Amino acid sequence: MIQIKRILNTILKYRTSSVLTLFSLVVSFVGIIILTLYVSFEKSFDRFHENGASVYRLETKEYGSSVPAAISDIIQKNVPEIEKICILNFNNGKISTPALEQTNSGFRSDMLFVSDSFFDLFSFPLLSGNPQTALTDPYSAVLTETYAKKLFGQANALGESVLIDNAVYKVTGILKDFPKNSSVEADFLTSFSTLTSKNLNGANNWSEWSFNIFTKLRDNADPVATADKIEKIDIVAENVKDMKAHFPNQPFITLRPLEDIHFVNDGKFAYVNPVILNVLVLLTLVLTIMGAVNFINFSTSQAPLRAKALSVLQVLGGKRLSSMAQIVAESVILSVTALLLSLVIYWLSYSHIETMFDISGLSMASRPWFVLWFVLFAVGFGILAGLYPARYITSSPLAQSVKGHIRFSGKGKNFRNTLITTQFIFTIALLAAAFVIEKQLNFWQNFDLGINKEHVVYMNTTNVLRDHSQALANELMKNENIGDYTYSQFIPGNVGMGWGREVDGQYIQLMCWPVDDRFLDFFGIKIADGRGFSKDSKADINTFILNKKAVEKFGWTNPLERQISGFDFMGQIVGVAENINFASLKDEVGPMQFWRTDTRKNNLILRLKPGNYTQTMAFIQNTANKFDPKNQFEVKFLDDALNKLYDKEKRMSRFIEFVALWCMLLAVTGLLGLIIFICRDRIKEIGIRKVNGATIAEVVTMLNRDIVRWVLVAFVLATPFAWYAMTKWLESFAYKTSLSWWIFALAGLLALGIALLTVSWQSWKAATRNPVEALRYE
Amino acid sequence: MIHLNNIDKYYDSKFQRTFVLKAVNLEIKDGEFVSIMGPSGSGKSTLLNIIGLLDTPSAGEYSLYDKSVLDLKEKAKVDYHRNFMGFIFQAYHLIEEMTVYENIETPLIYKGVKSKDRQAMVADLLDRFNMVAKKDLFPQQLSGGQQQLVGIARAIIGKPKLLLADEPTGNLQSVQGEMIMETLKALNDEGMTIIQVTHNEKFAGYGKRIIRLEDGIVRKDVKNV
Repeated sequence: MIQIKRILNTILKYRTSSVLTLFSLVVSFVGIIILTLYVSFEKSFDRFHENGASVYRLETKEYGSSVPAAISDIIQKNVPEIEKICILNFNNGKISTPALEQTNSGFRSDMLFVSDSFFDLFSFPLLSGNPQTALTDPYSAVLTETYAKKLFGQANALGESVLIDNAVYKVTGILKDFPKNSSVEADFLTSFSTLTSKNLNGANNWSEWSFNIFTKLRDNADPVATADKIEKIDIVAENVKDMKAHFPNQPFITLRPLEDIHFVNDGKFAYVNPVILNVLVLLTLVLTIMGAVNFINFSTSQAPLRAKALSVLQVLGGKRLSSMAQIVAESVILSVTALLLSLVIYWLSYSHIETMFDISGLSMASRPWFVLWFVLFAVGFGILAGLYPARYITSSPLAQSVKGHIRFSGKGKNFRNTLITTQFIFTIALLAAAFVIEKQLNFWQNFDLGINKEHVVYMNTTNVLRDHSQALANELMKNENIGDYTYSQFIPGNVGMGWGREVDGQYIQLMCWPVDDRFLDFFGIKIADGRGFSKDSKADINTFILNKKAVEKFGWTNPLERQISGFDFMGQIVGVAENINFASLKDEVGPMQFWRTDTRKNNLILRLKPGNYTQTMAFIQNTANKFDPKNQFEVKFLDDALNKLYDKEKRMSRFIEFVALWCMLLAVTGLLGLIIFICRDRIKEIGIRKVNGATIAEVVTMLNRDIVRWVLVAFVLATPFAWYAMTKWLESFAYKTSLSWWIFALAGLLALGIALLTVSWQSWKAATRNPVEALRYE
Repeated sequence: MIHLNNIDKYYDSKFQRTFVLKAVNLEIKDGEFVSIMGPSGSGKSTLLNIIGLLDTPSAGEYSLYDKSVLDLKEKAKVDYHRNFMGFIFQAYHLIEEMTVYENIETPLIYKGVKSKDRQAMVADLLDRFNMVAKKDLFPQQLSGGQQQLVGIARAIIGKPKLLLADEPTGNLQSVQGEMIMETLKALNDEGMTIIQVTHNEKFAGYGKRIIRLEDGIVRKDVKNV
């Protein structure tokens, strides 16, 4: 009890140091808590499946996880190592009930066609229904709890009928909502037999590479050997022969463990960039180190004051060890207090942080044991961070300490300087990284996509509107604020149809973009070879225009003489267009063709005259409603849709930038503490120098000179490190900004500026003090 | 040289005004050696600090060579410290992280003296004080008397006209104290004006004039022959 009281007294006595320590520990711990929770959430993805360890996703070198469904039966028949196999097909559709259909309402939702073995591979518990049979029959649907409630007002919807894209499905099961840490996610499941029974979505075609296949291997089966076996099945080998030729001397078919799929981006499954996770782990480490640095700096700064009191205790018979124990105990108490404060701050802020950066997984609700981990961490941190100061403070020779002549070796000061320099290395590197990230985001924003996207808006159409597409366009063009229009299945940035075709014996893969006759002119896309689609003529229907990249990639010298098969036609290639960036700038432009058709006018794209946007957009909506009163329409800016492509990057980058700033807060606190204590320790020296003719400016310069030196050293050490890291980061993008020297100079200058601002206030205060006070003889 | 006219120094607390110095009038001429004596709390050090421009009086006039030095700008004050006066303290107040040589050199750096000249000047003084062998030692490696010698060396390296000494022998044994006083006397003989504050009657006797303070008032001001 007395011990604890003495420790609390000490903490209160060295108030400046305690407050600074507590503050920087809280800053550090809040960051550590949030990053740890986030990273461990992402790392926990897909780990909850009972059979998870033996489940693998089938992948090919060419198209990743997208494979033809037809391969499934062949594998099952020929490879005994595979116990079960499950096909997944991601889709979206409008779901409603007969009752909801009366009012023409329903929900656009993510649906997932899956084989009946789904629940054997994946552990998603059913609230009702039989997992063995629920997905066996065609037109069976298993709803998530949320969707059952949404559609029927209650979870008990077993046996009811639902309408999915106007087809009637029977509800055969209710599924507990997918856990947040599942890569496989949908609003409801539908039976894959629905597709095979009518060969929908190309479920029976070898050319339709858009399905996902998961396999459950038997015990002791080797995934590498199994994949090799699959590749060697005659019919498989025959079908992948051409593609395999692109990847000589390496396995073409691979099996990826279920637990790894969250870290591979393929557009369908929830994905996180593993590099970013590693960066966040690194930042957690940085936060820990910086917190510890401040802690050690602040407590060793108290050494001259503390040593006297503690040495008196030793003279009275206390052991050095007990003095050390007291210092360590203080540090544990401070550390645990800081952790409790941090938990409160975390508790109050985590949902805001989730919204701000569009991340999830910060909640501790499903894993309360993390609190225990954090407490243990804080105790360990307190002990480890307290040991050095404990040794240091009790290291002054006893006889002198008692007299008040505290003498510490210069080592301690050098160590403190090294620590501060370390903090600035982190700070400068992180600042530079933040600048590079900003520059890259900016670069994407201002990139010339090769299309004229000024003042462009778009609107999703409905069947009714498509039936009246020309009349609607004519009506809209009467408004003088609308300059031009075109119909297309996709808007730029969201081209979502991939074709695999055999052309003159050569297998090719390219994106296909169905457009009307006005499209190329509308966006100002230039023709490099051949001609554009002819206007107002049906003659060009079902012809193609390739982009240059396609011609290049396929190695065609005579593209205009070739034909590519469509769904039920052979389409002539009439022209070659200049490349445009039709997808995200993260990737290179791939092979693509425009398909001239009037059957896929899913989007109406319009160019407005500048000004009066709100009014004009309302006019477009109203006009659409005149043609189709049953549906709601929304007109959106193309720019917004394009920017959305980088949403994830942007939010993640902001998150990292935020952590960078957070680290800087720690560095600044550390520096502030250090300069306060330096000024305190040198106050006599400052007085002497002033009496001997030093001006205030000279004293401030003297105090700041060291800081400038540390920041410069930090700058020199941080720059190559940051340069390397950011080069690596940029390498992952197809279109990237340059790493200019000024980014690093700016980071260094900013760090220097902030450091000088922090210390100057203190050193000015110390320099302007009357030397008489400092030099008075006590 | 120094002209103090009706100098008051007081501190106001809630109900009363406490005087540290009251109506002090003092005239000190070039080349004098003045000892200020008095019991603890009589205002000796405060008077010395005011003369040394480290403290400001609450009322009264203070001029050096007929020039008022109250309300000086920082720059002018620093100028006086660099070129006109030097200080010696009871606790020596040497900078512990610096060698003897560096300590002595410091004022010259602030004065802007060139490195070559500094070397010569410091060497001369070390020679004069017989401390050449000790120039690379740190203060804590010296005896008190030697430390104070370094203090004196530092105070006079800039060739000030006025040397202010606050109990320069207070921490020293009598033999070493005497050595310090002999040094001061020698400096005075060379023409330097010296004002010292001291408790020690014997060392006060080195002064040519003794001023006795009591409760902030000058009680006696006598020539010492």
